Amino acid sequence: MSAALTLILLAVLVIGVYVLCYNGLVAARQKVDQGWSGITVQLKRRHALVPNLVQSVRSAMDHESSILDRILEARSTALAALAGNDHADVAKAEAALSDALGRFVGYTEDNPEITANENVVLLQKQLEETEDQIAAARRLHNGNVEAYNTKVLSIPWTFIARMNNYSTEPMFDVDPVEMKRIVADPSVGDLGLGPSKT
Amino acid sequence: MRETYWDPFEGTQTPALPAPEKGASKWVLPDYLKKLELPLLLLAFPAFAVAAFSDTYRFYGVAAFTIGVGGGLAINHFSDAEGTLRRRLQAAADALGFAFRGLMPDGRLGTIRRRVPELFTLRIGGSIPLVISTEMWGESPSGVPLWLGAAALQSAALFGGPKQDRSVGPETMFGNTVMMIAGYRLERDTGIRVLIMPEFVTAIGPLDRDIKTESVEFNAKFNIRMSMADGQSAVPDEATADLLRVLTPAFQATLIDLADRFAARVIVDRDTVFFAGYQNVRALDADLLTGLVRSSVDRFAEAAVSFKRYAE
Repeated sequence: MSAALTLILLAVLVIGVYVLCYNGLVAARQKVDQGWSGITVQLKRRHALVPNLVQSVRSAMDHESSILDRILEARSTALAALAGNDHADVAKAEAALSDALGRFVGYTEDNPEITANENVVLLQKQLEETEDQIAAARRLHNGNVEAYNTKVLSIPWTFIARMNNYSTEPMFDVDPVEMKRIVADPSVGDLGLGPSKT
Repeated sequence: MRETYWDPFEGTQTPALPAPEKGASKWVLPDYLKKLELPLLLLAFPAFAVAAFSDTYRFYGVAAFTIGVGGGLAINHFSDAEGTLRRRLQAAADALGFAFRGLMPDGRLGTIRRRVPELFTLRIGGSIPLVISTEMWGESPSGVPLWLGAAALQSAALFGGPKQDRSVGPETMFGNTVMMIAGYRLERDTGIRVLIMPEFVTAIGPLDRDIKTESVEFNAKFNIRMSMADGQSAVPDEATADLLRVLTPAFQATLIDLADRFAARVIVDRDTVFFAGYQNVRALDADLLTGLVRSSVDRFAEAAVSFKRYAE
């Protein structure tokens, strides 16, 4: 085999590997975007449910409007964060919204008459299901990010990633401090709604 | 008194349930003899080859083949293996509070196979075909009417994937493979038939041509195909929206979890879901195995309806 033919075969091989790896990276990156899109669909669904929920319980909770105001404020922040498309901001704002909703659920557990309304029960159920879908969408997205990051950091993809300015993507995780607050039992007393702590 | 149950194949069933079988009335073979059943049957294969192709050792081949097949079948017969396996499933049904039918009437299996043929077909490089020999009817803990088809088979660990293994008790390669299919109704008609089967090992690059979701992990584990409910018409683009309503993120995440536990496969046929899979349980002690089969069926029944609300 002549040297020229060897060189041509080598060049074809290198170009072939480059194309395959580049396409693989692009596909993995697109999956990350798709996964993120899946999260935003569920977040928007939650944002849409919140005003209806607040509206449905407003009259019954007229004297405890601070809980509802807090939910609406958290929702506004979450909407703004989602529009900004910064994953860290979205995670923080959504955690705050989850926290506010968690406190509302805690309050309704102590005051079941609020959720006696059929409409509220339905909304709460939808909200609960949306929370499940958000958690699942986050898991799927993070799986995609992990697969993409593994490629970006592995040979031979890492060379092609650097050449084309592909870098690792962050996971969509709730801030640990926020998470600690969410998993803590909602305490009505903390909001100054329960018996006063003297 | 005969009760009527919801049935995914014939609408309702009022099965004639045989009286519960009592414990084994045949001899109780010692464990060391039971252990020999599969090795003896396996011995028959090379022995057959020797008998067929070797002139010098033909006599020994025939002798070993006879001992292997005869011995294996004799142990199977005298240990009442089939009856034991059936009683194990009956114990599982009793624990669930389900009605149990240990022997299917003529034509029943054919009816089931015609409705979900994909579960009974070997997909080379994809999934093994399932076998069922008994049926159960009842309700899940959440009140969903549930049909379960099941079979328990003698198995050795070398036949099972490591991810489906459950090693409990003394280290042993022997146990049972519990194959199961669950059927229940959704509260809506999806209008489509979705087939979610284990992904082929050959699904790489251009050979990976099934429907893809947004999840890399889900796509790696499952092969997704869709057809219209009548099984005839071409799938229109609008049907993708129907598919997305079924394959929600929570639906996918739940199935990812179940993929390794049960080698799970799902068919959503309009308003009916069929969830199928198998699990290997290992133990030589008969009572321990009965308990393991019972908990396997129990976990499977719970898993089957775990993603129901996410598809509705």
